[in-house]
Amino acid sequence: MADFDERDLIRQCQKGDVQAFRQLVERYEDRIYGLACSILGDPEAAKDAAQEAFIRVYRALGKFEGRSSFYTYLYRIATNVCLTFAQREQRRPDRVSIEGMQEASDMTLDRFLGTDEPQNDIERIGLREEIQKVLDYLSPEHRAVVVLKDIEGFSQEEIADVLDVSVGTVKSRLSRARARLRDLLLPLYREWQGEEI
Amino acid sequence: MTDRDKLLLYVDGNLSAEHAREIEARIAQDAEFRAEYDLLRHVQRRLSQRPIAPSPGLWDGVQAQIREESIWNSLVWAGKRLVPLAAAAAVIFMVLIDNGDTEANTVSDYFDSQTEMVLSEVQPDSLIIYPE
Repeated sequence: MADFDERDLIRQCQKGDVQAFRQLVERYEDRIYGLACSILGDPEAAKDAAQEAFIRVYRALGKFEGRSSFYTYLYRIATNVCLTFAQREQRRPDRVSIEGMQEASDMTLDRFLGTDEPQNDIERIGLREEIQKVLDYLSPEHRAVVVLKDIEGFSQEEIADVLDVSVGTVKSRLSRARARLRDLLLPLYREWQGEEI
Repeated sequence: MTDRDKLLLYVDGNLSAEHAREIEARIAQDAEFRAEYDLLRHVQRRLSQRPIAPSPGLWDGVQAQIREESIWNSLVWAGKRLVPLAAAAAVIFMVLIDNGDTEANTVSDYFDSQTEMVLSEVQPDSLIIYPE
């Protein structure tokens, strides 16, 4: 039923119905904004990127033939926009280097390393911030793969489709990203486990 | 490829059954190796639990951009149609002006030539001066 509604909405959009497009935006904005936050790590940039993604979808919707799901189509555009924004951010001369941020970080990842489910908004925000700190250690390309796999729950084949790369490239990027996170987090994890005991 | 490299593939299900069994055996026997495995699993689990950050509301910005583009597209659309029309009108106008000048010149030339011809035929002494 949801798919039928969605196809109907897309057809209405293709006929120029802006209100139908509004419904599509409102249906997916939390997920696309969340994706943008995870890849970009900055709420303001994430808002701009998510808006840009929806505008590009609106422009291109006339050519959407429904061969892939709208969901995948939307994620493909949104991920590409986020990676473009991330590259632009990296080229900014006033950008603080990730290495500098790592050195300056106090490295408190208690919520991330713990197993407790957040119970209230403060804990949820705390966990989200710590997850972002972890993601920020990855390059945008590696971050995108990890976000799509672990946060968004895409299969490796779907990620390949979204990023327009081979499944082998997805596996390779996932492996390198996990190696980087392991090297970063293993000493903290051991320390944290020692404290727990 | 080391077992540590294989472990990275194992957690995403990208290892063959044979190699997966080897890795599972090492996880069971080696506490250090098991700690790495636990960490990789923990990261996957924690990321999947990422609390959703609610969108700050994207529609207003999207709508404003769509409107702006719509106005601009209308202007471009009108421009694409008006420019050829204006060009055609300008060409027609120029042709008309040009034709008008030609006619005017022709008429003017005709009267000038007629006047010259008449004056050349008139002898000064043939002029009759009537008394007032």
